Amino acid sequence: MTDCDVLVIGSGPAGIAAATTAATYDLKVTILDEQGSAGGQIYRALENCSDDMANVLGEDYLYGKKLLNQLAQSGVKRIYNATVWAIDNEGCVTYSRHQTAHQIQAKQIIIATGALERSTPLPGWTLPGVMTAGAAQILLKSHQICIENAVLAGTGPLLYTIANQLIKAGCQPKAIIDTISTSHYLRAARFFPIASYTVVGKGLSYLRNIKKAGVPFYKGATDFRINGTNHTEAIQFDYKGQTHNIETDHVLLHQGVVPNTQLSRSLRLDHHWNNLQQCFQPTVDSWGVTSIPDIRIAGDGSGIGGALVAEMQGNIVALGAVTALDKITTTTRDNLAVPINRQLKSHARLRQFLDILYQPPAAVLRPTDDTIVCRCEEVTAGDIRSYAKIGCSGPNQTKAFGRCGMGPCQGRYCGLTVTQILAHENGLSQDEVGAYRIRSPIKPVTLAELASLDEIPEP
Amino acid sequence: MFKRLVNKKQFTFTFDGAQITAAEGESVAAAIIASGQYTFRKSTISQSERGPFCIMGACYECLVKHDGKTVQACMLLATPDMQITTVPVANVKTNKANSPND
Repeated sequence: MTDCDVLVIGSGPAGIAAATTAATYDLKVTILDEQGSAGGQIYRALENCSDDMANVLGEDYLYGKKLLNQLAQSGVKRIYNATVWAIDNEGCVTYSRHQTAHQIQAKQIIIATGALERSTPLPGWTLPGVMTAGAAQILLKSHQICIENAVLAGTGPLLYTIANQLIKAGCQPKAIIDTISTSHYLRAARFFPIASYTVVGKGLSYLRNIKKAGVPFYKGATDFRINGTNHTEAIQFDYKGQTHNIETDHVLLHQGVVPNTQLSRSLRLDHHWNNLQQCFQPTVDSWGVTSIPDIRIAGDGSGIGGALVAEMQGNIVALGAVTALDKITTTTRDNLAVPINRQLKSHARLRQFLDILYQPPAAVLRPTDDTIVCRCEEVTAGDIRSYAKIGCSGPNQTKAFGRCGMGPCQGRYCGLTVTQILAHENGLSQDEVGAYRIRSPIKPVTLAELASLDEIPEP
Repeated sequence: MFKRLVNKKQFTFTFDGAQITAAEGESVAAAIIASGQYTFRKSTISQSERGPFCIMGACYECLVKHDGKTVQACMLLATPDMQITTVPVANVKTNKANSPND
């Protein structure tokens, strides 16, 4: 077992900012990431990005180079290919690396494990060939592999970003089927963030590029269905009162991102439902402190805000951690945080606008009966509704009723949908219904890995 | 279909005996789907075809067998002459494990 002052889990923007800030205060700081290099998902594989790929992926991605350089020069101990699978509430973090388990004892833990794409169940979504929009982006970033003739289905900034990247890469999408409707625009209009006009302008330029490339763009689509026998063959949807069918091998789904709460749930931290973003998030104070005093969360894992907000939060949370370690006074901490908090406030207004504009449709949150909700155990929305009728009041009972949530993904892709369906069927709020109880190990480990922890103590 | 945008050193490994071309740095999942194969395994209950979904180690759809262990193909770096096989699926009706060669 090794030890450190500050342990950061996740090397995306929040994790890098937190680790590098903490390191400037003469502290022993370690950062872990399960990927082979830093950057998280947003700045994934940025270190080796060629000039050609830089042109495809865009300046928002390249911005992350500054963070990678910061980390490289920081003196933070970096451990990659490290999958964290347990944390206890006394500061002990267990991770596996190349099939051997290790433990680190930390005075302050900062969880920065980010987000997952929102699960978007619809009939046929388990067919091979259906992936998330983020998956397509990872293939571009990490492997410079481009998906040709994909159909993008869903809504949100990432969908248009990946469409632009595919266009720039010479593999423009076959079509974009957007769930956004006029009512979304009308609802969002009064929250338009004038201060963030450059960001909005960039979004509009993405839409213009899509139009210029001649990619068919269907707005306000409903009733999606992916058809195929052994793999994806076509996507069907309703648009302007007519049913359309587009043949394709690849459908890329996206409806925004949600916090990855596996670690925070495994610690029994307090969470609450974010009604605007339609997801659970851990309850943290303004210094990222959770319901366990020495465990903090920064970045999208504590609430979706995007990459730039994550970086700012990383800095704030680190200030809190170094204060707790008596490196600075609370007064110094508060003064250092003032300019960052001012920026966070203006980003919050943009976030609110985006959240209202790109609200997922009810059909995505509570799919039709024949839709598989739990992919791992193949439990449908209809199954879950039938459990509710015979007394199932919460997600943990769905495990007993039908193994829902008990597969390898441990509720990462069904959890929110199960909560939504049960809340609706039982007339309860999502907070009242709750979420899956998650237990360590949060990723499967072998007995050999467990056994490798049994160190012979030093004399 | 998939297109590789950059020319990198290539090598091969096998997936259920079939040769798969991979480029340096690719995960097993990326190489297999780039070769045009999107089905990795059969699902537990209905034995339906499944393939990679998230490519970031969260969904567990891309499971394959390597070196006797079931692993996520998207988190496994492809190396020359690796031997990857499909995970066997237990037939939940008969409780008998099937291999894809049955």
